[in-house]
Amino acid sequence: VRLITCDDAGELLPAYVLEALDAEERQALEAHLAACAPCREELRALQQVAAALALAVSWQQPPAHLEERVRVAAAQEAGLSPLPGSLTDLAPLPTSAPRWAVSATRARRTLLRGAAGAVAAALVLGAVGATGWWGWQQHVSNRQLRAALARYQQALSRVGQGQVVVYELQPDPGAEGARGHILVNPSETVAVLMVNNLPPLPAHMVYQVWLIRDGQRESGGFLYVSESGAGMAVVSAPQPLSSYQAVGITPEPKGGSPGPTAPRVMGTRLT
Amino acid sequence: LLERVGQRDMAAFVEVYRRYARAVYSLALSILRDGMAAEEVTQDVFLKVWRQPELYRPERGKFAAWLLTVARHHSIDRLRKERRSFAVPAGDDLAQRLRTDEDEGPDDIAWLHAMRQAVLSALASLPPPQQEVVRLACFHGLTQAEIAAHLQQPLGTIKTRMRLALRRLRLFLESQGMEM
Repeated sequence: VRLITCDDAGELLPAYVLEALDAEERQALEAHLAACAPCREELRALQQVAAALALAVSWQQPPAHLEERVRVAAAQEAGLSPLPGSLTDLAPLPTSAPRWAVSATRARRTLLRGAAGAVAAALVLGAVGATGWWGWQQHVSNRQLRAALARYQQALSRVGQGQVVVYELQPDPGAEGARGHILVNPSETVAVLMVNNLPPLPAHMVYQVWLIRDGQRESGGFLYVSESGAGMAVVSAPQPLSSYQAVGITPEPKGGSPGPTAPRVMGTRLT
Repeated sequence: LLERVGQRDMAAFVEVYRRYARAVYSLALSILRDGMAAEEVTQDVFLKVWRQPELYRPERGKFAAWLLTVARHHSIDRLRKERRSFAVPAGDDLAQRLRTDEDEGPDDIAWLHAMRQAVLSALASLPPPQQEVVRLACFHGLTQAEIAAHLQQPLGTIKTRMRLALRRLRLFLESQGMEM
């Protein structure tokens, strides 16, 4: 590497901070900087000018999907669920369900209050399994994903206020091996439902969630599952959930049905 | 905020992204002139923050300055790796940029705007040949030698212009009390 003086360095620094030097000049300057504190000071001052200059480019709004992409990539690196905001603040999600969390939910009904409810939500999300979650995520488009994540966040924050009941969904014939949970705050009209290993449906079909009240079945919305059979849904009930006695899932034609038209694949009593 | 990013706080990370994504993306897009590549560079830059927020040292200046330095480095690195031929767009009107209000948006913070306005004014105050050299290096990632070839001027002339331009910009920004 060529040896240079402080005067030479001063000549090279402006181009250096704009990364406009050729390789040989850059190496010579970097060798000098490593040994010269005053030139490093000068470098810092000029770096600020160069950084300020970066603001003078024509400003373009990054595409909206980029935020989601960056967020998902960051979550993936950290082994976190990409759920935005408060939920991820509460607890890093385990990549597989801790044994005690599973056994807690295996009891058909688990009662939790306040922040514990939100933590339970996080743990149940963990129980859905990282692979299933990612599979599901790749299944939907970015726009759908953003909308869905916003809804989950909103729903979970509502479900997590006060008493939370976690019910384990029972598989019916045709869906053996499927597992699932529904998180319910009885005084709310939304619940969060998560399933794993539920058989994927052809494109013209969709799972529909039913809420059963005094023998009547009311639609609670749709459940989309990935090719690996994982899915989440925000269940939206016409009345507070305390007024329903059971929940069930059936496969229906795309767009849904006014009432179930096929045998139930999963369900649970809500009492 | 960065402390929270260091603790793997996704909400804090998203906040950092929202504040600076436009500046980072715009710089990458300006240098690479390719939306997909600019998106990838933007993602890399923010993931670097996510992985190692401690790489930013507050005693060396503002976070935005560091972030934009990283963004420039990533962009130019990529540009040169791909050895793309440089077709420099001709119409790049600073005065126009000064006039147009591109600054609306919730992602920005006030001083970033103030800084941008100051820099645009500073640039506009340079003699046009100096402006040209800064523009080609700063916004389009050309080396001094490439600029000399592009403008068909001696390399020494380009070096002098770049040096004078940066000195003048520095004085201008200091006189405005603007510090990155």
